[in-house]
Amino acid sequence: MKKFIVLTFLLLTALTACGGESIEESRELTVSVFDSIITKPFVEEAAALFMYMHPDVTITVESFSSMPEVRTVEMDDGTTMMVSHMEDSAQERRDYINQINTELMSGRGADILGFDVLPFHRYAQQGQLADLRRFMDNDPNFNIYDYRANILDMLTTDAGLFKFPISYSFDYLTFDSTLFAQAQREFLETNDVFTLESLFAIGYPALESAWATESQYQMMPTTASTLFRTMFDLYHSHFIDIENRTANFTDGLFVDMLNQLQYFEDTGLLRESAPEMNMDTISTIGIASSATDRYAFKIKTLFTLFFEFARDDPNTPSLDFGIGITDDDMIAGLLSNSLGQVPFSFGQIGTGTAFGINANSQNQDLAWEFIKFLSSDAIIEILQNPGGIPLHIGAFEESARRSASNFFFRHHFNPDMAGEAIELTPAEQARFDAYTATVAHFTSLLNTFHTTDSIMTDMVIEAVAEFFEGNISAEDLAQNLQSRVSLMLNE
Amino acid sequence: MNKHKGLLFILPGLIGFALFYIIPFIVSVGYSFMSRPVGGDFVGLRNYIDLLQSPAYRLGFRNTMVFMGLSVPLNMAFSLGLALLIKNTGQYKPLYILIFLIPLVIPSGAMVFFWRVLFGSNRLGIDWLNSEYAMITVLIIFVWKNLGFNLVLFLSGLSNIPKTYYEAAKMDGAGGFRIFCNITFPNLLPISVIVLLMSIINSFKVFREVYLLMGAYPHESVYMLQHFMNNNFFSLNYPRLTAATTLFSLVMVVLTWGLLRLERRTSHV
Repeated sequence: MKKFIVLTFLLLTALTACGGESIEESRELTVSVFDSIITKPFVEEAAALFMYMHPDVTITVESFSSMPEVRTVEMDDGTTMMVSHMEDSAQERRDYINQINTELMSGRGADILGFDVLPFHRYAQQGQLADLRRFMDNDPNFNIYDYRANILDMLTTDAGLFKFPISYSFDYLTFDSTLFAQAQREFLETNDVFTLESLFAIGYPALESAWATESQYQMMPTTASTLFRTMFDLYHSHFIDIENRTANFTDGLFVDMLNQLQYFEDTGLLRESAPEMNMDTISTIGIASSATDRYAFKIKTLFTLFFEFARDDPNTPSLDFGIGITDDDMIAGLLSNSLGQVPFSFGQIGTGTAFGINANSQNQDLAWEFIKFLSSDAIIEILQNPGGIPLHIGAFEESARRSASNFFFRHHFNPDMAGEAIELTPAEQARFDAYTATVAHFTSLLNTFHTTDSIMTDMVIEAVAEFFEGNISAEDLAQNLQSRVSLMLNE
Repeated sequence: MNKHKGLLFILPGLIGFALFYIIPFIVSVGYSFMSRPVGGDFVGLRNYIDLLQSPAYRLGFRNTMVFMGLSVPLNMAFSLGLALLIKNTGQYKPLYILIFLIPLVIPSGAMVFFWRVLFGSNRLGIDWLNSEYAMITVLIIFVWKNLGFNLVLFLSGLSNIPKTYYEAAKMDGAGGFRIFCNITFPNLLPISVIVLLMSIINSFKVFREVYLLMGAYPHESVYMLQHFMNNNFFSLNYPRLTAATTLFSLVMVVLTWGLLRLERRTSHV
């Protein structure tokens, strides 16, 4: 009987061990992304185009995030407005990471992983991602100089290159030219990178002078908590160095940063926190109130960069970005931290996503072909709003030209030719060239990619919210985060 | 033949236990000697050496031991004291037992809100959840939750002590303390070993409350071994995770075996 039990046991073990699938040659790819709203449709359209060009290939795109809730809201003037509401759910991100972890650890998972949320550094450390340099080196059709090579260089570590971005992003800085004296203006115009500390040092005396005559000046159209996020992104590797597994919240910088931001908000230098956006009360909240406000500095996303050059063109539509008067804004440059680091990002949603290849994939070569296709100028037809600067230089120029002729210089717009670039006038061409030159120049200034972990970032942001709500002191918070993040890094 | 019949009866259960516990455990022990679960190389004891050198593991181990060292005696002392108090309460005894058993059946998740309200804001000027006081918070929660379970066990042990022992002691003029030391305590030893074993096992389960209340990365004073294992699971460090679970299981098996031997010995005294 004992023999029977032992045999049964061994049989069960063997059956459990034989759970793997047989490997078959196939031309099927699965792509997994978190974002269902922008990234998934983009990848699906690109996949459709790729499958059209390669009929023997089948690509399935999976996503995880929930779709936004859409409601109709009646405004004060009787008109109705469609309002979409989307929760930024940290739990949803964690659930997605858990799902992908389980798939990877069972030897499966999607062939291509979109790193809009996933902790790529952990996957790379655990050997779950294929080194893309191998494909780049062996692919005769791949020319690194078709891309912004410095961006790829910054993503490459000693262990390899594990994510390939479709586009990259950075914030830029403008100043209100009516506020500053000639010497200050020259300083802002002739330098390329600025720390927030230096901006506040220049901005405060200028604001004091301005307040004598006008009261609507403020330092920045942002809240302390939002500005903290910007500063945290700038100093990320100082606070959390994922590669060297060190945390540094207790050297004073973090505490000073929080106290300074709180002071700025308390003294009215920053825009006050907006009332909580609620779908039921949204009709009473608007951004129009800020249309006449003036701000010494504005940190802007790439979305508005072209507008800085096209703004004076008579054919460019007037736009209100909800950040006060923009007519007198002039580009200053990029933000850096006090260590001289000028970071870039991919953005967490949208086509700013980067992609990597699952080391478990049986179709790695095909996966590389699709990633290359995603980042090529071939998909410019569907890359209407790249959410950043396309990494492929040709794709960027074509994308910018289409945006110019279809949006900023609207007189060219022809519904029959929508989506196609049209020849610009010499004046428009000059503005266009200035824009592309600025993008190229700013790109050359980027020198840092901070490896981040969405779970750690969420932990810090949630904890800092407690500080701004007055529930914890900056010193206690710094100690708390130092302990928790160190623990996380050293597990 | 009858012996074989008995084995046949337990075979379905044995198959289920083997499929869902024994075999996965053996596979996970195998992972603990590999560099990675899928397509990894054999690395011998490297994962165990890394584990023992890990500050997070050592912190989790130390905290778990400290918590066990504090919570188990506390819980046993309180539950024994309560059992002695309510054993002679007559008709109200079931009511008292019911009251102390309620925490055991309330889901941990449901209680998190209450604990947050109680300890979340800086009561008495102390940040109970994010300072070294967090250990006290966890001890309170543990004792509150497990008091009823041990109470029932002790009450059953007390009811098994023949009343004649007490009557004889009283006739001889023994006082309460002496009765406890010479009659109650020696006769409770077998059940005390069971209570001790159950308390130790339950002390490892406190992770659920700590996790729900303070998250995956609580204050370092309440970072337990289970945090280490849970977080390594989420960070895909399966070799280290399986090394930790193997060591943990080994310790638990030795501890349980030792306690069961002790229980056998005390029950024959």
